[in-house]
Amino acid sequence: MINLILLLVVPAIGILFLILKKFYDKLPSSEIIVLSAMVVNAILFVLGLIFGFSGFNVNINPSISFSFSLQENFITIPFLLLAVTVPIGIFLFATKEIKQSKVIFYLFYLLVYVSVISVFVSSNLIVFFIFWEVAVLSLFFITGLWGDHEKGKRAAMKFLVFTQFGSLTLLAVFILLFLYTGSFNFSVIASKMSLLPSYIEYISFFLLLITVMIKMPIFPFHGWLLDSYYYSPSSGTMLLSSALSKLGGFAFILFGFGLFRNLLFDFRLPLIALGVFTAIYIAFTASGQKDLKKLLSYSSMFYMSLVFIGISSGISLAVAGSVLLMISHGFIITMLFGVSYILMQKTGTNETEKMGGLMSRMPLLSFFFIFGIFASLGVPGLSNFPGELLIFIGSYGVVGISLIAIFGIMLSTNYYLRVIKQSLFGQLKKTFAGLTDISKNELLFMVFLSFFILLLGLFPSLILNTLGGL
Amino acid sequence: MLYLILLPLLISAVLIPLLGERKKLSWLISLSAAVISFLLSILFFILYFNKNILESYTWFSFSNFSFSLSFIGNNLTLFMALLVSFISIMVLMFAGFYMKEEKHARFYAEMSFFIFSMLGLVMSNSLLLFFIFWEFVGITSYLLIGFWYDRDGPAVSSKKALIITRIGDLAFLAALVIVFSTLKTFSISSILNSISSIPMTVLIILGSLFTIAGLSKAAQFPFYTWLIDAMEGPTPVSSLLHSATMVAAGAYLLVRLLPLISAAGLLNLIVVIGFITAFAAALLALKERHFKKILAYSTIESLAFMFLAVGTLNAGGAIFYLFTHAVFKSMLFFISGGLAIAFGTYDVYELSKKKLNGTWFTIPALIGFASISAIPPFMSFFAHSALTHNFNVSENIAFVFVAFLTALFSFRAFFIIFRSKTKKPLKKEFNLFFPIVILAIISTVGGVFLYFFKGIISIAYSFDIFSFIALVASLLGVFISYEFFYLRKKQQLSDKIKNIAEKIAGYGYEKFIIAIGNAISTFGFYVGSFDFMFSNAMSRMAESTFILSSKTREIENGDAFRYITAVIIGLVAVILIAVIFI
Repeated sequence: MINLILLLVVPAIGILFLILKKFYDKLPSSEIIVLSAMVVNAILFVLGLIFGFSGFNVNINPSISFSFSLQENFITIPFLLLAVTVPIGIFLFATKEIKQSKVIFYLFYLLVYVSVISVFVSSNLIVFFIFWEVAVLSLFFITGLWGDHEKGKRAAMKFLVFTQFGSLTLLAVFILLFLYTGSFNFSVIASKMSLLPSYIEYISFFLLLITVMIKMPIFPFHGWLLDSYYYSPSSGTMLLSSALSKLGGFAFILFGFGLFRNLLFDFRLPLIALGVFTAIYIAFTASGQKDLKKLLSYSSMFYMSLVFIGISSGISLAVAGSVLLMISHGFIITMLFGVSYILMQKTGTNETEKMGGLMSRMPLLSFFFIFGIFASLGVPGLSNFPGELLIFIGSYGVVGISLIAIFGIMLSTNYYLRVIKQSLFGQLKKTFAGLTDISKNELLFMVFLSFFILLLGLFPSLILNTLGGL
Repeated sequence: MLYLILLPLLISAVLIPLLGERKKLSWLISLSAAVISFLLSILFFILYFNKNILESYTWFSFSNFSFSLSFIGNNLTLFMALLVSFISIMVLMFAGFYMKEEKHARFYAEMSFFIFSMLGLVMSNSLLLFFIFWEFVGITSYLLIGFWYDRDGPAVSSKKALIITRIGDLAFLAALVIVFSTLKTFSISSILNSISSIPMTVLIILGSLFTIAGLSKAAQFPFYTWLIDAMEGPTPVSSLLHSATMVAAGAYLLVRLLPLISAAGLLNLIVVIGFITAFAAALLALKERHFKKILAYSTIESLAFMFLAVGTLNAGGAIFYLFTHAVFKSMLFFISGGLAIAFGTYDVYELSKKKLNGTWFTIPALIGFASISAIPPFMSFFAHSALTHNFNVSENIAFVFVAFLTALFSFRAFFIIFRSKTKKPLKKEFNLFFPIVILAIISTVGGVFLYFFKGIISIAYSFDIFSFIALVASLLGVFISYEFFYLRKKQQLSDKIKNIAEKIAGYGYEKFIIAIGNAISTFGFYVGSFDFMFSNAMSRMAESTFILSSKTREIENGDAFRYITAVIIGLVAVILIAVIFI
C-alpha cells in the first residue's frame, strides 16, 4: 500500500531542496531536483495503482473537525493520473522557455504541482480549500512575473480577482456545509446531507455553481480566460488549461454530483442548455480568431463546456465521459499549446495567416500538430472520442438539445483545418526557409504526451474501470 | 478471426514510417500486405460461405452499458472485402508506376491505413466500429488528398473534402448517440430486428441523419463539390477513393441500413436526390476539360445510380453496380494517370493534340467509356439491368434521359482524347499495363458474374423494354458525340450545349458554399469581438473595485484624529437612531 501523503511529501522535499540550493551550491541543478521529484512521484503513483493507496489522517483541531486527512474518493485516480504526468511534460518544456529567475519559477511550479495533487486527494474540506488557494496564488505569480511584459501583470490581476471570487463562494459553501453537518470531512458530510434545510441546499448549490463556472470557465464568467491564457508564459498556460481548469470540473463532480445530486437533477435542463449555449458561442468565437494561441484558449473552453454538459446531465455514464474528456483534454491541449509556442518562437508570429508551408521545413512538428488537432476533433482511437461519445449518449438520454453541441464540433473542424491549411500547408514563405525542426527535448515532450493520448484513446477502460463508484 | 484480414495492412501502415524513406521497400511492403489481405479474404470467403459469423469484442464497458465492436462474416461483407483488397492491389501496382518520383514512406503508410480502414468498414457489424472506420477513412483521405501539401490546390481541396464529409460524420455520430440511447446496442443486425420498437419521430430523425452521412460521403447533391476538387490529389489516391472505397462507403452504409431507411420513409427522397445528382453531374461533365474531373463527375453520377437502386429497395442492384463501377472506374483513372505521366497534362484538348488513337490505351479506354455508358456486351450493361429492375415508369423515363446524357459526356471525352491517329507505339510499363489489362478483361466479361451474384446478395434483373430504350438512348448519345466531337460537325449546337452546361455550373452553388464558410468566419469574428468587449466589461468591473479600494484607502490614513472623529460620529449616529426608534 502506498500512503497518499507520500505523493505530497516527495514534491515538498523537492521544494525544500530548491530552497536549500540558495545556500549550498553543491546540490544538483534545480532542473534535476524538480524533475526527479516529479518522476519519483509518478513512480509512486504507478506503485499505488498496483498495490492500492492508503489514506492518511492527522487531527489538528477536533472541535472544528479540522484534520489533515487524505483519502481517495470515487474520481481521484484519473485526476491523479493527469496531475502526476502532465506537469512532467510541461516541465521539459518550461526549462527551455523560462530564462529569468529560474529557481523561483520552479518553486512556484512545484507548488502548483503539489497543491493540485493535494486537492485531488484531500478528504477534509479545509485542506481542500487551502491547497485550492495555493494553486491559484502560485499561478497568479507565474502569470504575473513570467508572463507578457506589459500585460502579464494586468492579466494576472484579472485572473486573481475572478478566481478569488470563485474561491470565496466555495469557502461559503464549505462553511454552510459545516454549519449544518458539523464536519469538514467529506464522507461525514455526504452521510449527513439530509440535515441541510432545502433553502441552504439551494444556496450552497448556486454558490458552488458560481465557483465551477468561473473555474472551468463557462459563460458568462469566462472573462478572465483569454487574458490569462494569452499573456501567461506558455508553460503557465499549459498548467492553467490542463490542471487548473480541471479543478473546476473535479469540484463540480465531487460536490455537485456527489453531494447535491437531487438539485443537479432538478436543474439539469437549464444547466445543459447553458453548456450547449457556451459550446456554440465559444466555437463561433474561436472561429473568428486569427491568433493561434487565442484560438487554442477558446477551443480549450469549448471542450470544458462539453464537460459541463456531461456533468450537468447527472447521469453516471455522462459523468464518466466528462472525466475521460477532462483527462484526455489535459494531454491534448498541453500538446497544442506546446506546438503554438514552438511556432511562435520559430516564426516570430502567432497569426496563422502569416505562416505557411511550414510542413516542408518541420515535418515532425507538423506531425504532432496534426495529431493533436485530430485528437482534439474526436477522431476515434485518440483520447477525446470515448469521452465525447459517453457525454453525448448520457446527456441525450436527459434532453435532446445536447446534440446541438455536435454542431460546435463542426465549427471546431472548420477552424482547426483552417489553421492546418494556413500554417502547415501551402507554399513555404521565403522568410522561413532557414527554419529547423523541433529539438530532442521538444520531441520528447511531444512523444510523452502523444503516448497518453493514444493509450487513453485505445483503452478508455483503463480510466473507466477506476470509476466504479460513480 | 476476421481481424486477420485487416492486420497485414495495419502492420504495413505502422512499419513503413518506422523504416523511413526506402523507395522500393515501402511499396513492396504495402503491396504484399494488400496481397495477403486479398488471399485471406478469399480464404474467409470460402470458409464462411453461406454462414453468418459474428465476432464481437468489448471495447469498454461502463456500469451495464457495453460498447462492443463486432465484425460480421457473411457473403456480402466478405465479398466487399475481396473487392476492396483486389482493387487496392491494382491501385498499389499502379502507384508503383505513378509515384516513382515522390516521397514513398508517407504515401504508402497512408495508403495502407486507408485500405485497412475501408476493409474494416465493410466487415463491421457494430455501428460503433463502422463509425470508427468511417472516420479513419475520412481522415486518411484528407491526408492523401493533401499529399502535395506544398501546392496551393491540394491544401485548399483537402480541407474542403474533410469539412464537407465531416458534416456527414457528425450526422453519423448524432445518429449513433440516438441509436444507442433508444436501443442500448450498436449491432446493426439487432438494430434492424428492432426497428418496429423505435418511435416514428426518432426513426425519421435517425434515417435522415444516416442519409445525410451517406450523401456527404458519397458526394451526392448537395455535397458533391468536394469530390471534384479532390482531384488535386495524386491519381492513385483518386482511383482508390473513387472506386471501391470512400465514396462507395456512403452507398454501402445505406445498403446495410436499408430496412431502417425504408421504415423511415425516406426512399422517395433518396430517389429524387439521386436523379438531381445524376442530371447535374452529367451536365457538368459536358463542359469539363480536365480528364480526371470528367471521371469525377462520372463517379458522382454512378454513385447516384447506386442511390437510385437503394431508393427503390434494390440492394442487390446497388452492390452489383458498385462492383462494376469499381472495376471500370479505377481502370479509367489508371489510364488518365498513365497519359498524364507520358504527356504531362490532364487537359483533354491538350491530350487531343498528342495523337493518341492507335496507342495501346485506346482499347481499354473505349471499354471504360463504354462501361460508363452501359453499352453491351460490357459488364455495366448487365449491372444497369439489375439496377433499374425496381424502377417504376416515371423513374424509367427519367433514367432514359440520364443514360443519353451519360453516353454523350463519356464519349465526348473519349472522342476528344483519341481523335487523331498515330503510328508511334507508347512504351508499356508492367505496373501500368498489367492492372489496366486485368480490369479491362473483367469489365468486358464480368457480365457473367450477374448470374452467380445471387449467392452474395439477393438480386433480380430483367432485360425489359426500358433497358432497350435506355440502350438506344445511349447509342444515340454516342452517335451525337461522334458527330460533334469526332467529326466536329455542327459546332454551333455543341457550343450551345456547352453554354447550357456552363450556366448550370455558374448557378453559384459553389459560391454559396464558400459564402457560408465566410459567413461563419465573419460571424465568428463578430462574436469574438463581442466576447472581447464582454471580457473587458468584466475587467472594468474588476478595476472599479480597485478604485473603490483607493477611496477606502484614503480613509485609512493612520491619522488618529480622523479615526476618533469617525468613532464619535458613528456613536452619535447610533445613539440618535436608538433614541428615535426605541
